[in-house]
Amino acid sequence: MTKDLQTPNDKLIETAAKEDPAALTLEEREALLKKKEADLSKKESEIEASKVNLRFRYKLYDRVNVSVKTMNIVIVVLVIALLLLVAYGIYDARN
Amino acid sequence: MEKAIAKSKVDKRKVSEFLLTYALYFILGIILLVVIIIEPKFLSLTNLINILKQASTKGILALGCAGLIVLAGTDLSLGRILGLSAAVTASIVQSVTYASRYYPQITKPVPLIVPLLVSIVIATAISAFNGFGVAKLHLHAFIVTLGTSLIAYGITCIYVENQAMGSAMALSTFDLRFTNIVNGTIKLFGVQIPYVILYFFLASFIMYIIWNKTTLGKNMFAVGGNEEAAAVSGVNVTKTIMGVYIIAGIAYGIGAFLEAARVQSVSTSTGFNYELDAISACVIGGISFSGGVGNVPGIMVGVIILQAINYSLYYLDVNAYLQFIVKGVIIILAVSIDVRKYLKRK
Repeated sequence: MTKDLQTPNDKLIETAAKEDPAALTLEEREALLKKKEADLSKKESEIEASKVNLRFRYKLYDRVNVSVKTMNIVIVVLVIALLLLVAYGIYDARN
Repeated sequence: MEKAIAKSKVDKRKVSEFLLTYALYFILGIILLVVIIIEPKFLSLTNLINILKQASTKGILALGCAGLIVLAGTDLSLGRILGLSAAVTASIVQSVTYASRYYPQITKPVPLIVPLLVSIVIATAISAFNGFGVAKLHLHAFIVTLGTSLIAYGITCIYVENQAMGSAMALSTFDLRFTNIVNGTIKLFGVQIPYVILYFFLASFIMYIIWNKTTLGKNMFAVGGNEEAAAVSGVNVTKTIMGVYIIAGIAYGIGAFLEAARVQSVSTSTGFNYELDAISACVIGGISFSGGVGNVPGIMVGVIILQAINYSLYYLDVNAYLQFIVKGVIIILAVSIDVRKYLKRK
């Protein structure tokens, strides 16, 4: 329930609740509680909707599932490959 | 005794950790050292200026692209956007005395601000389209930018082929004012420095300010690091993503203008594979594909190192096809190191 939809009576109840909650009648308290519950469920559904939207955006590494040790081996192998490639390239160019 | 053994183990672990984290810099440094030992002339001032000059336009592109990688995205259309913007720029700045110019109706030299603005507008429009796809339609950056890459390439081919001559001849013979704006030099500390290098440093400084001193920059890191948390904290995710894509577009537009002047001949193949150079320079420079990590000095170092390797292999006359393989391995190695850092943080 947005503030625009509030009746003057709702506003009065809310102000009174802030000033002195004990002064409200049972009906007024129930009405206020219902209103707060409605607000809360609306906000919850908004957050859920934004979460669903965000779930579509995934990051490149989200599915990476290897150990650091494995990556160490991969890095060492790639470093050796790179050095061998450059060495071969230079050797090839000079012969 | 036990304490000493434990300490030496910790030290060894620290050293191996350091070596693995900075493996790429060490390897690239070793390669450069080997090249210098084989060809000591490589270390001449002319070569260093050439490396910086070639790195400059790619550096400006990398600065634009880096923001998108910080957002955990990427840009595969960068090269083709540059090609299109450069082609349009080239067609406008052809010398008015050149008989086969693209626009024979241009009889007086156009103020250089016009092709620059046209280049920026074209690049920004395509980049903003990419941003819309990512921010609003929630498409992955790979898909959107792959699509726009092909669209931009198609438009470039049609545009270049649409010459009065009726052929896909490269656009060349530019107004001298245009080529001088990049290839002209200024004497600093007794050294002739091409203007384009100064533009690169200026662009880097501006990008540094945007990244570190503006709300957009801070929001960019927040969205790249954790989009959900940023959204909950009140960051306008859509606006931030669009802003970063627009800034990237402006960088591409400026890069295209400068590249056209640098190469002095623009064809349909201009910009081919530039995206790979820009992305790999970013990754070498420490911009993480996981998002939210990176800095401008890192990009500058990445661009210059990558260009130095390219230039040195070319200088030593290493087989051109082998150079592609070396570049590919460097990219995979850079990403592997990045993944390792990501796993460590996790």
